[in-house]
Amino acid sequence: MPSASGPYRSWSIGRILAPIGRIGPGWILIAASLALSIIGIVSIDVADAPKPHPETWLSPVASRQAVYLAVAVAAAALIVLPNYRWIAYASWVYYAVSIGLLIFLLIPVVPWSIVAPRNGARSWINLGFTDFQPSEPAKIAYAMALAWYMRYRTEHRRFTGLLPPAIITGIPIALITLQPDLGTASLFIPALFAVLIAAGARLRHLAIIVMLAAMSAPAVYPVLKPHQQQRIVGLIKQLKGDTSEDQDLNFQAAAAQTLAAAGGMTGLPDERSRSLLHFNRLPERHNDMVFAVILNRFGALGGLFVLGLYAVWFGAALLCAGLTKDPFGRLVTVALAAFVGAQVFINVGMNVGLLPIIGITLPYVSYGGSSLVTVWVMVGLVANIMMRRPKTGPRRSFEFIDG
Amino acid sequence: MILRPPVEGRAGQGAASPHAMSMLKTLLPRMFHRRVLLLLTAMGIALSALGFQIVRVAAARGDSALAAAESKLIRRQMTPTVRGRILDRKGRILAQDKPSYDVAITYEVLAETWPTDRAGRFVRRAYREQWPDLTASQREELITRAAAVYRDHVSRGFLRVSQATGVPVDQLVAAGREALETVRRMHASVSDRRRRSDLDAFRARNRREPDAEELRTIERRAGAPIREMSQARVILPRVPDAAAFALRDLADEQIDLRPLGDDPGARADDRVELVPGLRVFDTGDRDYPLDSMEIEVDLTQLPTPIRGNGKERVFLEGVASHLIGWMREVWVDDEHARRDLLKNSPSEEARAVLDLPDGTTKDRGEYIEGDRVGQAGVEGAMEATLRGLRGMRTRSVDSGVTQEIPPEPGRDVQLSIDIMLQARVQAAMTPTVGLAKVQDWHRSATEPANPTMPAGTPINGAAVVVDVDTGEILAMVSTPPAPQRLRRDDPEAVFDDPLNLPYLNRAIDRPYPPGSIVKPLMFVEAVRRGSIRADEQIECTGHLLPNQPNMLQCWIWKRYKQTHSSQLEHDLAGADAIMVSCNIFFFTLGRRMGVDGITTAYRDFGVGRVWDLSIGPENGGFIGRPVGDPLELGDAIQMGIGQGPITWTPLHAACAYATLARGGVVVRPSIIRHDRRHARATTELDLPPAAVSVALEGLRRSVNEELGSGHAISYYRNGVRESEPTFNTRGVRVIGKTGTATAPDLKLARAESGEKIEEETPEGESDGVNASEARRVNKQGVEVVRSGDHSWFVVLAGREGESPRYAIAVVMEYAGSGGRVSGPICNQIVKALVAEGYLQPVDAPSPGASDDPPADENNSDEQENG
Repeated sequence: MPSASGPYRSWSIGRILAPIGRIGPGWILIAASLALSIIGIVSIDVADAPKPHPETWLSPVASRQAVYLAVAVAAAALIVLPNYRWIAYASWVYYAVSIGLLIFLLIPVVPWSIVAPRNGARSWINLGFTDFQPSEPAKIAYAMALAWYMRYRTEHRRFTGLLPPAIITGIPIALITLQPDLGTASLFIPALFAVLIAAGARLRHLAIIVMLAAMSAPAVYPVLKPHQQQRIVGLIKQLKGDTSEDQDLNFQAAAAQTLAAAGGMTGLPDERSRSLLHFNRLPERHNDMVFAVILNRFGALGGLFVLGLYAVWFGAALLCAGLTKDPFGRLVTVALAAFVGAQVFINVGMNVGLLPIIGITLPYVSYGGSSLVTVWVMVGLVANIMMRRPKTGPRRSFEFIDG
Repeated sequence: MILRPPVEGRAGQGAASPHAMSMLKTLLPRMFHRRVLLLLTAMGIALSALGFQIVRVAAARGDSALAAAESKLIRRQMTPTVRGRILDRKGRILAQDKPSYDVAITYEVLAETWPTDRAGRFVRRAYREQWPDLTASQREELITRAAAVYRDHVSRGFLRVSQATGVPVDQLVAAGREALETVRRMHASVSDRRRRSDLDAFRARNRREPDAEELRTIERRAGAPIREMSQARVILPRVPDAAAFALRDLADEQIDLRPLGDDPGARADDRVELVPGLRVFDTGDRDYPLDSMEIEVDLTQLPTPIRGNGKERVFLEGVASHLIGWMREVWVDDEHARRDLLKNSPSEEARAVLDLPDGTTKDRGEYIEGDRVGQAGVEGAMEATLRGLRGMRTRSVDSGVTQEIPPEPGRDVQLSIDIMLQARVQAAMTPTVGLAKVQDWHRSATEPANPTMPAGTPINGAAVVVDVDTGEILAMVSTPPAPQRLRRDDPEAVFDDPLNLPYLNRAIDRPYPPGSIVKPLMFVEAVRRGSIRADEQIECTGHLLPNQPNMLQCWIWKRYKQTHSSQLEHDLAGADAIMVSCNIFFFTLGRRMGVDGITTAYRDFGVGRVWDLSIGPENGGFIGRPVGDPLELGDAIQMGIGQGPITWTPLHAACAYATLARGGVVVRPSIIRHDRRHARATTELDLPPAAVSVALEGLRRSVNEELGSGHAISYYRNGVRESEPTFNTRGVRVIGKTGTATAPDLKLARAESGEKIEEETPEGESDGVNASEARRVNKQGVEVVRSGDHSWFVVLAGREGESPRYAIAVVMEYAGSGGRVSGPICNQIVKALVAEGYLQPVDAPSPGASDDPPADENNSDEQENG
């Protein structure tokens, strides 16, 4: 293994790139991400163009996604350059800026030219050349802030010690819920739990919290907005096999599942698949419902392949977390992996009819610049952590006698 | 990774299995690693669950989901079919389809409320969450902006309709405005009526004027929209087919409208009709080209009292309308009937029902809103044959390939009716001609006038002409007619006239007491049963019971206190009795045959049976008392002369005479040609040939001898009694029998609303004694509108010297004497048969010549026959 100290003394590209050799399983992460992104572009093309177009490479939306991918990979490469510790020192600053942006979204007097509701949610800031969704980078800022806060602590071993991490999590959840973007907000909870589990919190405490939450869940229902309640009603009807709402409440879910199942085991020919997707008018088909497109075009086997890639991605990310001894690096990696894992589970779950429709994207695959840049920056961050991971730990972190 | 032995090797607390836990700790000495493994396991389980669901859904629903998804690639359009025609026996068209399409626009689009409504709904949906936070002016601005886009879209829609039809846009807009104005006027008048009635009701209830708040409530109720405001209104009636087809395609198209343009806040599109509110109605007119026509009536051929010079053109309406029926809008029952038909007829189902690729089925003959359905007559009864099956155009939206299953036109139905003969018969029965309205010469000088029918009153009735050889019905008339025009324009005049019941086909659907026309039939049946020998003589004693001169009288006794035996100077043989229509003779036969015998005799001649002619409801006639009391010998005696508890229809009468003419062979009458449902079944009554000849001889003498009851009509001219033969067509042999049947009174409730017929049931009464008059019940509120006897005449007509070819039955309601009222009509029908070429008089070389014999030659005719 080449050493970072060694022959390169001066500041040079060589010096900066020297640690690349230590990325290790991070390469698996990068490869899986790239594979998923490319599958995404292909699927978006299928979803976007109603007919095959051999004379042009990609449909307009798919080409835009390809540009986003280039930007996202560049952003990830950029993140790799400085030592992640220098980046990490400002964790609270990122957190504060994110919170600030999330608050900015909610200010009613902000003119529509800057924040315009889209599908009823104030989630986007118009930057002129593109739209920007602050809740996406907020995930990374949150992961870093939480990891920064928890990196040397033991208070979370006590029940009351769970409160500060809960507050750090609660603020972005509250602000994103107000947009309202319940889907994105809901991702912060699995991230928090994953970090707490990794940091050695008592499983008993976490179990109690989960049970309390489960018991109070029905009390939340009346507080939900009507359209959210409808989606839950719709899901229940759907799970019961009631098709009465398929043209109405459940239109999106029913259309997605019909198209997903229509792919069968091995998928449909290109032209057929495009026609079906186009004329069945599946809403959000290059976005939230892109997994249904994958199942339609490539079948259950294609779907399993994509799930396999996610399993590889997730496994590689956790392997990275396991390989570094830096507590901050460990927790950030676990948090980011948890965001992606939760997002995959919810998105695929709603595409195959196990979960209600809530608007979240499929990481790496769904169309969208903010989302794609965010998940690639996550990859860059993990690679950075791997490249500069300490050879010997300063001390043992998160080792407790139980669990 | 290098595994090291545990540093802190303590057993885990609360772990499920201490041994497994310690194994794990040996493998993964770092707690962080174990926790990461826990996370990995959780994710593994979650992904496995998703993987399982993916495979399960693909395996379980794959095929059906593919079919469901592919069904969205297919646009199906049913293409209209053509209803079969109805033809007469010579192929003349009695009913046919005339394609016709109306272009309509929904009210909301015409009223221009559509853009704003639609814009309001769209903006609310697009800004669902922000809506409560927006200021009124922000909302206003958004809706106004979107509404302008929708309004533009409506204008483009009108342009498209204009291009498809070639009608200028201005004209379309003007037509739309006119349609709108019509609805608004209707609404204004309805509102006005509601307001007034509400105000009146309020004042009546509260005895004061409403205050402002109450007035607002009344106003709101009055202004409620009327049904017409939710329907599409026709702006272009009867567009050409090509334009209609183009518009139909347009009406199916939809596009995505982006009402807020590229506003970053509003990504959503709104899917709208390409031409907002466009509807194309297939109104498919049914055309009845011969429903009305003009018929030339030769006035010189009428009986002397109403004889005129030259010919008169009589305008007829509703020719054969009872037989043809009409079209009405679709009812829910039709869908049920259709479903039953398919269930019971696998062949029809195989023909009509398409299996669609998505697993559903489509009945090409299903009833949908806007369909027209046959009602009454052939249109109603032969609906399944006439209707036809729609075609289906299937367009694949992705490939643009169109497949077409052509529509299957409905089959034509040919009737055995000759529509020109039918029209001539109807002309003879038209009151303006004079035979079918009350005339002084319709009764003898000694008879009192019918108080319910003063002179000039139109007489309703029915006539049937049956071909003796085939049983085919050549003409079937019921008056008053039910013209298509009248039914459309003033349905109450057809359906709500309890006195005349114009919609009723009297020839098959109204039972009448038969009266004396059954006498020849009773004679042959009595001989067959051995109740009398064919040559046996019976004395007319005036009254049947020696000591009861006022009961069971002969008509000659009642009127002249005479007997037929004394008139003829001998007792009566069968032919004598039929000729003079002696009651005593046939009372005696009734008594001898008894209840069972005479009941069977009537059943042999069709009473109680319907023939399923497929021209609407039929009445089979009836034997027995309505309450179900058993019949007694007295009833049998009455039934011997066609009175008492017995009814039948004119068709029964014509068929019975045809059976007699065939010597006892019963042939099922028919009106639908090539009707495959009924085999041409004949039955043999085994009538003794000798009895049949006696009966036919009796019929001949009845019409052709001085003493025959149907021989002549008499009248007074300048105070002098004159008479002329009832039948006067040279070269044609007419034999037949009169009947003057006592009928129950026709009573109507006098109440102004809910007029209702109460008919008194026929009782056992003698021909002579009008018992119903004697026991007239004039209950409060019930008015006797018709009383008296039904007038019958049934004849068999053929060429001179040949056997009868046609059986003709005529009944005229409450008209009195059979010979005087129905006889001349029968005579005109015989002439109509000649005129239409069905009878070639022996002396005449061509059918037209006999149409117009000189009037004064008639007497010689009579003498020849005498």
